[in-house]
Amino acid sequence: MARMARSTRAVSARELSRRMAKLLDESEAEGSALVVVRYGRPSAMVVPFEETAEVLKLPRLGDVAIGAPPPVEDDSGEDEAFENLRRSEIAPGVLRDIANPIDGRWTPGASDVPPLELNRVLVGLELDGLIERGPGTIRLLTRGGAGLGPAIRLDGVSTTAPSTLERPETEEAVRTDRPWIVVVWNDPINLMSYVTYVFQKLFGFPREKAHTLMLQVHYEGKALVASGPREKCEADVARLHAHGLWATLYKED
Amino acid sequence: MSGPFSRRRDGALDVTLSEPEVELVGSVAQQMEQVLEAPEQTLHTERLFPPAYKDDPDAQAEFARLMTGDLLDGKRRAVASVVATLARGAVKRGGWRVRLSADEAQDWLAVLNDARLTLGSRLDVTEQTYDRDVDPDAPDAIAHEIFRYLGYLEEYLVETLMG
Repeated sequence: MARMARSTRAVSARELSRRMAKLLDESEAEGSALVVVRYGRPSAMVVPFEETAEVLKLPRLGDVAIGAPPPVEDDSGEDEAFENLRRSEIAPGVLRDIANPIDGRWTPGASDVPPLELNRVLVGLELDGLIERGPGTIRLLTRGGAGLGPAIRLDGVSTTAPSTLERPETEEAVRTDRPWIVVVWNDPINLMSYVTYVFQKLFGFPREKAHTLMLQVHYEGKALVASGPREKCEADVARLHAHGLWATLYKED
Repeated sequence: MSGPFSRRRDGALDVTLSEPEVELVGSVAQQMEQVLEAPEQTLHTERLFPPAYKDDPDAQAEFARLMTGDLLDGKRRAVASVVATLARGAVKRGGWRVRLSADEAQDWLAVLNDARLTLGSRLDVTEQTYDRDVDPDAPDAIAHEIFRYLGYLEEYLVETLMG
């Protein structure tokens, strides 16, 4: 049972994203709940954590599944990266939807690619662009933010049946939806292992993906690590700065 | 795993250091405390407070106005946490030991990294720095050795945390 909050306080989503640490401190200290207001209406509530509470665990990629995960073949030669992939599997039905977009923009692989292999491609490269966490739900997106997949509640139950992906109306729709990009730049001081660790910690990336991004920063000088609305990207940049990484954001042209 | 850190099942971290190492870490924490007292008046702190906007001074000013306070608070809190854990440690069974909670381990990581960013900026570290031996006669030889030691310690810490 969640602890009854002694008081509530309304904050805008923008304020929450910019002052998250402070607001959480105040909420915890006062035992007060934060009601997050988006688009002029209450959207989510943050209540102080209590050890005994029945907490909905925020799922990592591995928990995002509709129905049972596919059986995994026994392969004695698997390495650790493969284990990470296995943990981050999502349901084959969802993967098929993603693999066969009607808008033609998303083409990670042919439909006859085995789910696990397809998953490797998705997880390894671009899966973050496909996931949007919202209050109480996770959505699978196509690239560019258009075409919402099924919303998945935090308890793992799909709230809407998987449907065909919607086609983005115009380029304009894509631009207004995900116009900001977060970049991490190479620097000669931060350790490679540390950068990998921070990517895993802040974005929940599987180790292999975090490692790939780190190598991209190291060898290409920079990597795009997140995208979305401005306030989300500013919050991501602030978290990266708090971990000593050299991150900036810019508006996509 | 041998090395300065070992992780327990409950997420806590056991630290084992020699006494000179503890002294060095303590001294680094103290210096970071001083650096963070007035970072805007201290040299080589630019990497601790990087810009979020490269080409938009107005947006950057607004970002800094909103975020720098929290960023600085977080850094100070981490240093205070490290200082507190150092005070809690003691010499037992031939080494200095302390047990860190998972949060305290993150504070150690943050302070080690901030110290490397600050010292590395001062030493003008480049990718090539790591391939060269430290010249023992150079005026900043000790600072280079400390930078190297902090890198070693942080590398071990990250590896231990990654499991």
